[in-house]
Amino acid sequence: MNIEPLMNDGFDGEPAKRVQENTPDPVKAIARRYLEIPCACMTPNDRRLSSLSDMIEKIKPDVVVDFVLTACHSYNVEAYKVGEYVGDRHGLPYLKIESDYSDNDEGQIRTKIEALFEILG
Amino acid sequence: MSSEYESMWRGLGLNLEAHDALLGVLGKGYTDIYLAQKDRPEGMGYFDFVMSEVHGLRIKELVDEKEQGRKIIGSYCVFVPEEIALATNATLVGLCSGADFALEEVEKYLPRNTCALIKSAFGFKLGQVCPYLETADMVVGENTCDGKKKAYESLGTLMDNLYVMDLPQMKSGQGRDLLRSEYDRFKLAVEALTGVVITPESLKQAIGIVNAKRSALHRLAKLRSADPVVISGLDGLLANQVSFYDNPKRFTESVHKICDELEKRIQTDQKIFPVKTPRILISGCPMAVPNWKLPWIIETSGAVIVGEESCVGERGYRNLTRDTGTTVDELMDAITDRYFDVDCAIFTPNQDRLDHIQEMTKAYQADGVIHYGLQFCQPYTMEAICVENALEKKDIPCLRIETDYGMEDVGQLKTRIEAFIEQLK
Repeated sequence: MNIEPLMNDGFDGEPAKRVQENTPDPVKAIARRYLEIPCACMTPNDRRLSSLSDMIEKIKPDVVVDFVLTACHSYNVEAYKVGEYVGDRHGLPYLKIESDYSDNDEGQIRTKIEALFEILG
Repeated sequence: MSSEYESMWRGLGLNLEAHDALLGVLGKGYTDIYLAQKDRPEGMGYFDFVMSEVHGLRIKELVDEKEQGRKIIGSYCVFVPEEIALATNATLVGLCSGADFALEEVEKYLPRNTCALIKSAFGFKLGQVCPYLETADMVVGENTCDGKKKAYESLGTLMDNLYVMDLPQMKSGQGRDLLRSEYDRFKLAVEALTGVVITPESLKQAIGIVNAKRSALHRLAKLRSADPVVISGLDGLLANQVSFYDNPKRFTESVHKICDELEKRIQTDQKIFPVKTPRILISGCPMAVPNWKLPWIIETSGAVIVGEESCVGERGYRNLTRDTGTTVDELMDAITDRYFDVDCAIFTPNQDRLDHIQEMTKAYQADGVIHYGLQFCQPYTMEAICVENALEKKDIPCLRIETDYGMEDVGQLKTRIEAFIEQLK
């Protein structure tokens, strides 16, 4: 399994995710690069879906697990769109896990994930 | 009123069975909470009538306006400038989001821990029970909090006329530029919708209408500062709630009539609450119809509400729009300045709001502040702590309440509120 937020940043071979070099206005180039970060605080955030597609096509995962920090509205609300997209576009199972930094829900999450893997066979 | 308007509701695509159920709940709530009050100003009869016809006659008026070619714009927030709508001969109405509806359906689109106001907006759409929403030619969503901003992406899949307005989060030069450019974009969209090009005259006239409405609410607010009080907080809140639905000119006249009556009450020293009833200022999230839970608990627990530091309250109507400009550009600047001053908790930092709460406490002679935060509303529940700290420094008692539209916590809230009121005596 890969972790999307980390992978996104350093992906090779995708010029859109690198700062364009040797331009007359490097600050603008930097701004353009950062504006393209598909954080869920942006709206609409279709770039997140297209970058998910890029990763899914490259990595060919069997399943997408969406990790949402409890009470994080941006990712939590966007999870609806991500779930629909992953299923409709890629036909992949999707599981949203909403959790925090405590260990209290470890067993519960484990059960959910095991059930998901069970479906995959 | 069911039979009389049934064909109109059906024409709007409402789910009649669900809508009847909603009206039943609304009617019962209104009777139990509003009509049960004693010594209400006679002028409130107008608002009783508006509420009894809130999905009937008012909707018929809007449908008639549409037939005459007028456009209806629905809005979820006080940052959507009514002046711009009116200047194109369109009508702006606030959209229902004060009651839980179709929660099970809503939670297919939204996380469970989304605030009740956002869930309500979805519930009314999914349940097909809001005639204002179904009458609207354009629905304006605005990027205030993260919850609303992201929820509009999903809401947009349920309707084909959602227009999203971006908003700044800081009161900087860039923030103001963003607001101005978004208002310019909105102006173009509304002009395209209506086919009417805004002129300095039409914009000035619209500013006049909205300023008159706000001035009437200023007059009412000032009268609420009288000691002893001459109107209940519930009735004061209702006037603010109705300001979002009603025809602005008629609303303005009705509020002035109530104010005339209240002035007489002051002259004749009429007392509607016992002497020395603790006076409460409510501060925080907006209360849309029929969200009367907290004020109802407060006013049946031995206190009276003298003001609302809220969008459905003084935050919404506080500032007037400058009308001295002679060009559309100058007037658009004035509109931008006016709305840029709104001290919503989506702004950071938001010292203006902390100052304003203290000013209101003084102006309305409040003995304490009850901060109302809607559960899961991050901007207001986080800012509530700053509010409490700021008030503590000034020795102003403050109670932080976090709640939703459900009635499960009424008993618990009543106990806490009674204890707080006891402390104020």
